[in-house]
Amino acid sequence: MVTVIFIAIASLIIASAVLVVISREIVRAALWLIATFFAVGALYLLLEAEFIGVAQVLVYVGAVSILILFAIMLTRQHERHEPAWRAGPWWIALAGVIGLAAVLITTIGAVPWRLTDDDLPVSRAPQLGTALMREYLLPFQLAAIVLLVALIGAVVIAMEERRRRTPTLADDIAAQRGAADRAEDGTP
Amino acid sequence: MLDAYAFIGVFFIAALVFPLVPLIAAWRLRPQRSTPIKRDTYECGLEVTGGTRVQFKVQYYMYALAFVIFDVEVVFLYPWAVAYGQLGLFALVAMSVFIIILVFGLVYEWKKGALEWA
Amino acid sequence: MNRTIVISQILVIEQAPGWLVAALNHAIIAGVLLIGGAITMMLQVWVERRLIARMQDRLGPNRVGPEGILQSIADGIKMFTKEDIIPRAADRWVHLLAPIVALAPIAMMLAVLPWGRGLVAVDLEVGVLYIAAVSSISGVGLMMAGWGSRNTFALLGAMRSIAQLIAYEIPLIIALLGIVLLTGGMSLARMPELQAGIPLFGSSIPGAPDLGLGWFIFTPVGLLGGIIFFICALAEGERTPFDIPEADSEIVAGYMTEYSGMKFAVFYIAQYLLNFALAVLSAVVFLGGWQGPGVAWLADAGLGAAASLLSLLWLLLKAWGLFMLMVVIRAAVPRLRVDQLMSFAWKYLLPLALVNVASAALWVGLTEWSSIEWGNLLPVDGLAPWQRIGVAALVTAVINLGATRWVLRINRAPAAAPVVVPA
Repeated sequence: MVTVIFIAIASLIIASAVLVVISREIVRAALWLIATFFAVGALYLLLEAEFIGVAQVLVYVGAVSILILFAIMLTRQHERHEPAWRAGPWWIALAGVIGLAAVLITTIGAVPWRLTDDDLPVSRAPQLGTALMREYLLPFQLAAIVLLVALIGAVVIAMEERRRRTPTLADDIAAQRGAADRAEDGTP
Repeated sequence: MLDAYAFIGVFFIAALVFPLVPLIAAWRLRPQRSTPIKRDTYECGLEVTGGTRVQFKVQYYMYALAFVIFDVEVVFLYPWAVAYGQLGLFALVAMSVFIIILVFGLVYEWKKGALEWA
Repeated sequence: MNRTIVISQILVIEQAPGWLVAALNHAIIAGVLLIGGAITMMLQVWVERRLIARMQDRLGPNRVGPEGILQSIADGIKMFTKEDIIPRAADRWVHLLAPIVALAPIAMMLAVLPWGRGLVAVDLEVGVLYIAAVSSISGVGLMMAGWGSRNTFALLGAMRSIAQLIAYEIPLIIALLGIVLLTGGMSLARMPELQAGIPLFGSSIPGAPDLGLGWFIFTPVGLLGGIIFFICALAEGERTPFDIPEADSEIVAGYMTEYSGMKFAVFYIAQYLLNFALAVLSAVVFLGGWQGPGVAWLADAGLGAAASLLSLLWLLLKAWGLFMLMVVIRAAVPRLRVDQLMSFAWKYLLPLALVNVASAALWVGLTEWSSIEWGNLLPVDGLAPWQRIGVAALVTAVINLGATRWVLRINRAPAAAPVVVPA
């Protein structure tokens, strides 16, 4: 039964991943990518890694997908359009795909996988928390720094973008309203 | 554990069927008399001009990015919270460092005005 | 599994394979929960309309059935006969799938909520995070609706609603984190069990009666967390004052602009079901869930079934009370402006929620750790449990009150030089 469910989830992942690549519209491709994320979360659940599975849905389906969609909406390209360029002859792409698949399959086949029916030592949330506080303390704190750098970098780029934008009527109104608000609060 | 998720899996299918039942029933029952005017895009009674090409503020993206970062932080916080009762003072200090690093990011955004809707 | 045997006997399918029996069993429970959700949604609409009418000095729907209680059924029947209009410009498939993607995740929230003493469909070890993860999926459905409609109003509404959803999701999850710290687990089924006893002290005083009132809302951590959670729940459920996404006077109906007939109704169901699920969740996490005076007494007297029934009534009472509070707030409070909405989430609720987590961590340290875990810095071993809770309550109350004052102060506009506003 588990095998049947695995095959169902795996084919969902592969089908939606293929649709990401062949979708002509970028938003549709993003939606298929979200479906892929979701199915991967289900795969984690099947592996009895429930915390990772739920975190996958929370972070990828709930957050990263929104980030991707918002990024697409920032461009002017989110409406239906034909691709403006073609990526060269199809047989080059096919050769590349076959080559990559060959490399991946031989690599995966070469790894001596250790199969076990036992519970993994670190798979449940309390064990994860303990491990983060003991063995993986340094990577854990480094993760905080990576997140901080990402945040600061985004602020720098976005504020630059905002400064370059020509002010609109809405901006003028907002500026005036801000001044008026300050005036109200500032008067004794 | 898989038993619990078997229920979640069945519930997932049931939750998909839940909106489908009224949608399919309505599809069989409702009248279908479509006219070109009915199928126009809604625009408060005016003719539609142009497309939906609105270029959104970069502010939307800023909020989404801050959201992703705090979401990832929360994913780290939850296992810590579950194990916290047995970990002792060291866990409190370690997590304080983690949160302070990220709060610094929030303060930076705040001071730079990246949290303003402008 | 006892339940499985009973159902397989009822259906006389003992020869059927085990997984089929289990699946049928699961499907029956899922069906009961979802049908219950649908009935609740109809009642919610009626209650909201009557209550709003009362607050606006009107009568509201009172003709269909006694006091108009069947109004929602009439509306539902009407919905079945409404034409489905798909704009020519729309992306048909995305337009069709959007309501399903919006409703299904919200329906999945019902799976893990504990409805009463022993009335839990499934107890997940990561229950709290599951709720957060599943409810965040429905945002994708809103985006599909907005983009798939190819309508400027719909797209604007979708962008606005998602910006709002994500802004309020972070404080919501962090408010829940405080309670996860107190209970030491993410299981939702365990949360009501830990809220027995008397207010604040729970079951820590020996000999005190079990009134079923040891709700987390009576602790400083739970109070601040509960307030943050409820405000976020209003925003997540797009209830006034957080209904910018569908501000009908500005952008028609937001992402629902191009929807009609049953697809529109599915969005409507999703919204009310989300409101109800969040009300139940608030009740479970902060208001003791199914705990209440009498439940423990009945259980001790050996009347398990009666105790379960009473506990279910307590939970529904709390959830409906919270839903009615949402309705009253809708009638009483005007809509926030978009910049106010955003800064309220990021500048008020998020810092407060983080401080509340620190308070919760201190609370656990002060009430549960031994002196060794404190690194021999605090001599806590000599105190009785209830004394330690008293100390912890005092400390966290001071921290939370101070933090609230501080957040209000730093958000006050800086006193600028008076600007002459042109008349």
